[in-house]
Amino acid sequence: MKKLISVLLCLAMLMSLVACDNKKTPAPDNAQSGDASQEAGEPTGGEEQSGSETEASAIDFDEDPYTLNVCYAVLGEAQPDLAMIEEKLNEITLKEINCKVKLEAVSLFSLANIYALKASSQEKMDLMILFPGSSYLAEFANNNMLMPIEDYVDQWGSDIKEVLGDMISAGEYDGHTYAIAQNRNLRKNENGFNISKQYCDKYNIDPNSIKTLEDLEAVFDMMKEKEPNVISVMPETTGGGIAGTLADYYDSLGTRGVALEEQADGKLKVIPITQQKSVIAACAKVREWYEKGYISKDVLTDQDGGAAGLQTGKCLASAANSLQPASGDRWSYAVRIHDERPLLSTSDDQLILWGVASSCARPDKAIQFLNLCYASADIANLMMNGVEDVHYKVLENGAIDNSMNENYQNYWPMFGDFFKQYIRQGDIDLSDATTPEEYTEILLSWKVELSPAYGFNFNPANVKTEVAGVTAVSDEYMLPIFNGTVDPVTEIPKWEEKMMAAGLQTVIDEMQSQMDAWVAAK
Amino acid sequence: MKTKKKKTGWKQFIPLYIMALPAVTYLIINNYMPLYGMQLAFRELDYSKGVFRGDFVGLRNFKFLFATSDAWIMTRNTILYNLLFIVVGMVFGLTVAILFNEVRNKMARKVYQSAVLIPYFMSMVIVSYLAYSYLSSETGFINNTLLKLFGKEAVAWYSEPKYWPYILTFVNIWKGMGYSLLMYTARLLAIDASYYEAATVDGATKWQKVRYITLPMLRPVIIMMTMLSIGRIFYSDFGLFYQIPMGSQSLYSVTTTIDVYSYRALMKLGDITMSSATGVYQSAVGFVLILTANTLMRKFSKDDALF
Repeated sequence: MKKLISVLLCLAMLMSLVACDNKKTPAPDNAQSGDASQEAGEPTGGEEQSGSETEASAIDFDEDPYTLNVCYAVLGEAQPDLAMIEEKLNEITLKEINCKVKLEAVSLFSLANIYALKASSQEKMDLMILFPGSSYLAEFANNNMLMPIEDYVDQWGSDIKEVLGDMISAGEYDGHTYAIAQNRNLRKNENGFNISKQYCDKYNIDPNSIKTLEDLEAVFDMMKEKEPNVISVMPETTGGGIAGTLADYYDSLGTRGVALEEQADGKLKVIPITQQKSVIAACAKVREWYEKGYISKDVLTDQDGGAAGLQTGKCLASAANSLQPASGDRWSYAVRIHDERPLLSTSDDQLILWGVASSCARPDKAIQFLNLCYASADIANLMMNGVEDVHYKVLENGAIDNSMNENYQNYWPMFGDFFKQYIRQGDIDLSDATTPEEYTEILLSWKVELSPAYGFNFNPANVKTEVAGVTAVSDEYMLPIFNGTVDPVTEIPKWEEKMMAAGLQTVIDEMQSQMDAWVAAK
Repeated sequence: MKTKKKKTGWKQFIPLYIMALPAVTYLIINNYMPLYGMQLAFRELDYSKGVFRGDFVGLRNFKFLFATSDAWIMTRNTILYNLLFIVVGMVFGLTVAILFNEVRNKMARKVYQSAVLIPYFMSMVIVSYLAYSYLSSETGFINNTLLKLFGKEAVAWYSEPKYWPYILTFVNIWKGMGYSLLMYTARLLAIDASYYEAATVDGATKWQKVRYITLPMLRPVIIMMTMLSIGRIFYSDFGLFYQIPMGSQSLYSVTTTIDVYSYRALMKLGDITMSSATGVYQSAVGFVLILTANTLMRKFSKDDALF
């Protein structure tokens, strides 16, 4: 019996060996296709080396059209009319860049897993959306999920460069371009409060009269008396921190646990977030609010965010970081408490990035397609809004009514140049504007302040373990402190101490040296 | 079997082996072939080469499990909670099974059993909201009704780690009892009634019958279930530790287990080499533990050892 078991075990191992051989067999194919791609890429590379940037490289229309697999993000539901979009899209792309496009919807919530699965099963994947890009760029560049694309962008991406301007550096990492940023209506939203329309109207609160935190507190006090069951203030989203809204804008450098400090002599210094003065002050304020009862005792476990709370009348105000030029929306008025402009850091512009998968056989086609998205209003409209008269109607004023788009809808500006697309009438209605032109004007006049470290991208490869540790500690301490459920006077030092134990100083030193090098190179 | 002559030994079993073939095939495909993937834990993640062809990096992928101060906390939580669940779960399961066995009305017994078993089929997400309706600070049943009744201060349950070992144990027992009850009941029903009759004739009390007949009869089941749990002592019930605390950060120190930690750390990045490392670590420790437990068992009571 025992002998048989051992024989079986051997068999099992043999089987697994065979299995591994089976798995290996696709490899030569892959290698071949890789070679093929190199061959295909070579002529273009050669052209490039001859340095003929002035003579725009011509697209080869004689070859068989390559099919690009483009992964974009959805909230999880199916897009029934995708085939129709693809068909229209292919008409344009075949004509313009001689390639076909296959769109593939990927659920936003499992982006990383789906990409890992696709890459490990060697499924075809060319363009991939990274959303939010700041959490994926470094990781995917380090494990070669993405390929460097600066050469292709130089050769084929003139419209990309024109539309993006300084935003192009958002996709740079470790000296290479790994991704193309997606331009959006606004590069950064403002921090502030959304105050419930329902309660403002009921108790004659004038949202325009609220200019400071004292004004806001007076309103909270008034409401506590009249409606004791309504929560005064909630964080905008579950897992958000109210102190984040109160603190002055700061650059978090895309990494948990640190902040950027610009010193008097203009030098850039990386500090622990626990030493950022305005964050400390904001946490003290939030604690005061919590003790006064403005913040719910259940704030950490509440499954509703403030945005939902405003709609149901659960709360009076939501501490938001998504204020747009408009003075409010259907449910709320916007209240601004910051005088300064929003500070734009690299990670803000990395919200949506497009990367080229390292398994892509024709990166030149991928970039040509991205370039076409930015160049062509037709493609931008088609991909964002669908087909005219099927998914949207153009109104008299030039805006569109997209209320019939249930079979193809996109929630985020993922494709093309935002300013080449139709404006949705729904957006105009929510804003102070009345016409599409006015709306565009308001968007264009929105100004942000560039962080002094804009364009800097931290490479965590050497301190990966420490970063993971600091992130885990921050996950534990940050939200209770930022929502006032614990006393910041005792907890902030504890937070810092535990981050230090997890290797924060190593992270800061590494980051500082990379930043010094980046400043010197600039 | 060892004493049997080698030459003739295996031939007579051939029909049995053939009968076992489908199950063995399944076992090989499902349990043995994935072993090949264990090498991922020792490789660097490099998608351009393909996942199985990254360079070997030794134990680097395991580093993150031990690098932070959380390593100790999550290992401690995983093992202690599981030990607690094994012991408390066994005591409760046994007690209730024996009590149920005394219920003579068949109808009543069925109803009770089903009632106890229902939570076992509930999703942890639903259980977490049930718990929330009891524990929520502002709207929860306990704070608003029970504590008020006794004139006590409201407790912020989701911010106070000290209550959570009890809450989690309670939820785990409440949810899992029905299942262990089934296992014990099945064995209890198989006990020959003549033992009890003889004991009654001899004038044994209820307690004596339990002590000298029921428990010894249940021994193999108890040992088997305990051994199986020990083998999984490094795996925690993910739903329990992740869903029930509703993601409250203040509770991380008492709710973080190895599974929860690696989920939090790795889900966002999809780093499969590091998650394989967690899996390998858990299996290796589980393997050693079950071997040790079995060896000890064989030493003390050979008949009860699993293999």
